[in-house]
This record gives sequence, C-alpha cells and structure tokens, in this order.
Amino acid sequence: MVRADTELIQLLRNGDRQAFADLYEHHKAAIYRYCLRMLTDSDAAEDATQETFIKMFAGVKELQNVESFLPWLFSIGRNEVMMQLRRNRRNGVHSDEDVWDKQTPYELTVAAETTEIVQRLLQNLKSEYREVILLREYEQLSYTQIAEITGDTESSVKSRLFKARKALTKRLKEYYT
Amino acid sequence: MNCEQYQEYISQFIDGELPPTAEIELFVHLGVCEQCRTFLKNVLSLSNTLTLSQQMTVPASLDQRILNQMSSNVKQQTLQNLFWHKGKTQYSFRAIGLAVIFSAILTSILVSSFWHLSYQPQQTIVCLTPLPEVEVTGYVVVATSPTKGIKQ
Repeated sequence: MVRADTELIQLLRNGDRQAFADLYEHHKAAIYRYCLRMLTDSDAAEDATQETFIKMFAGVKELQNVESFLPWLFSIGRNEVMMQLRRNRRNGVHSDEDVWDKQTPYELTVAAETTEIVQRLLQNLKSEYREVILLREYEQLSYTQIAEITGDTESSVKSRLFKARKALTKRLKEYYT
Repeated sequence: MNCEQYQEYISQFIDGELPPTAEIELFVHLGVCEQCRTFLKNVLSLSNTLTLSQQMTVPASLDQRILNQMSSNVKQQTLQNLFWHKGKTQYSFRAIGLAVIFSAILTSILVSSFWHLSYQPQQTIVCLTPLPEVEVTGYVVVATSPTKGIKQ
C-alpha cells in the first residue's frame, strides 16, 4: 500500500525511520532528475540530492503546511542547486535579457536524436529558464507550486516558461532548417 | 492583442493554466493565424520530446549513500533529542526529567554516605568484674560502679 505523503510526514515527525525511506523512495527520482538537469553533472547532482533529503529530514518538524511538502522539498533542492551553480559561475557574467546561457552549443553539431538535441539545448538555457521548464514539463507542477519553489510570482513563472519555450522552439527550428 | 500575447496564452493553455474565457479568445485567434498555429504545434512537439526523455534512473550508489547517512544522523539525533529540544538554550522536558532523576539518585547516595560516616552506634560495655571505686576531686567528679551506681 502506498502511503500518502501527509501520513508519512506525520510518521517521520514521530521518529518513524521507515517513513523517511518511503518519502525518499517517492521523491528521489524527481529531485535527482531536477538536480541533474540543472547541474548537468552526475556527481554534483548526487551531492545535491543527498543534501536535499538530509535537510528535509532535519527540517520536516518545522514544515508548517504539510500540503506544501513537495514545493518545500523542491525549494530545498533548488537551494542546493543554486549554491552549486553560484560556485561554478563565480567568474561568469550574463545578460538578464538573454535566455541562453551558452550562445553556441557546439554539441548540437554532433547530436543526432531530437531528444538529445532538446536535452542539450535545455542544458544551454540559463538556469532560471531551465528550471521552470524542468519543473513544469517533467514534474508537472502547477504555476503556483513553481512560484512557491522559486520564490517568484506566478506571472513571472508564466513569462519565463513562455520565453523558454519560444527560445527552444526557435532554436530547434533553426537546427532543422 | 498581438501574436506575442496569444503565444503566451498558448504556453499557458498547454499547461492547463489558461482561464476558460481566454481559451475561447485563443481558439478564435488560432482559427485565423497560421503563425500561432505553428507555434502551438512546435510547443506541443517540444513538450512531447521532453516527456520522451524523462526516463532517468537514480544511481543505486546514491540510495546507499543517503540511507547510510540517515542511519548515522538518526543515531546522532536520538542522542541530541535526549538532551536538547529545538534551540540550544531550551531544555526538553525529557532532559529535565532525566536531570531530576539523576540529581535525586546523586543526593540519595551522598546522604546515605554521610549517614554511614556520622552514625556510630552506642557501644555497650559489659563489665564482668566490678570496676574499682574512683574518687576525684575537682570540678567534675565521676565515679562508676556497676553495683553501687554513681557516686559523687
């Protein structure tokens, strides 16, 4: 029987270790996928995922609204990812207007499959655009949840999703023509 | 409204976040705008491609790492919970209870040690032979005799 997150959170708060294992099992793929696609490095993604679940365990008693567990968990993961990205980008300068992080994705020239091309294009998006695509397309989170995770307004989420989609479809079209 | 704004509607529409009134407006526009129809087609295609590449397995090493780390964390936290609750300055009830029990045990040990040290049971001297009578002059005169009693 699959227990609901709300029940597992209560059990975890009462010290049930199996509840942690179950919550980890429910959400590990989503968190790891998000971390890996944001960081594009499997070791860094593993570290970020590990930290996310350890911080979840440490902070679950402080979580006010149990219904917001998933956005809360993602926001922990996001903090880990952003810390890593800040470390990696300490010397980089990017324009706020631009959607792309890397202007000339060399890998595209050798990529064969559409899925691979899309993946690589995604990796070349700026993190703030990439994350909304990941949270929406892969995790199927609502605008409200994404806004909760990223700390932005819903209208900002809408706008970034639109810009990211437009940039991706445009780049894909350029690649095929 | 221009095509840019309708394309933003399209983005919201495929996410199921477009209000019904705006949906009608969008459909009317799509009926007459090929550019926006192409955008819709491309965005749906992008979405499908992303869904196809969703499969990703979590490395078994990560499972092991996290569960091992959690085991050690649980042990540490159990110990911490015995003495601390939330903040560093706030004792938990459990810690206070333990402290009270510990103090009570310590106090009882100390009290019983003192009692044993200070308590000397009165010794009874049994004299089988009568003691000689003693007469002392001065401030204090004590004379004992088992048979005749005290004589001053």
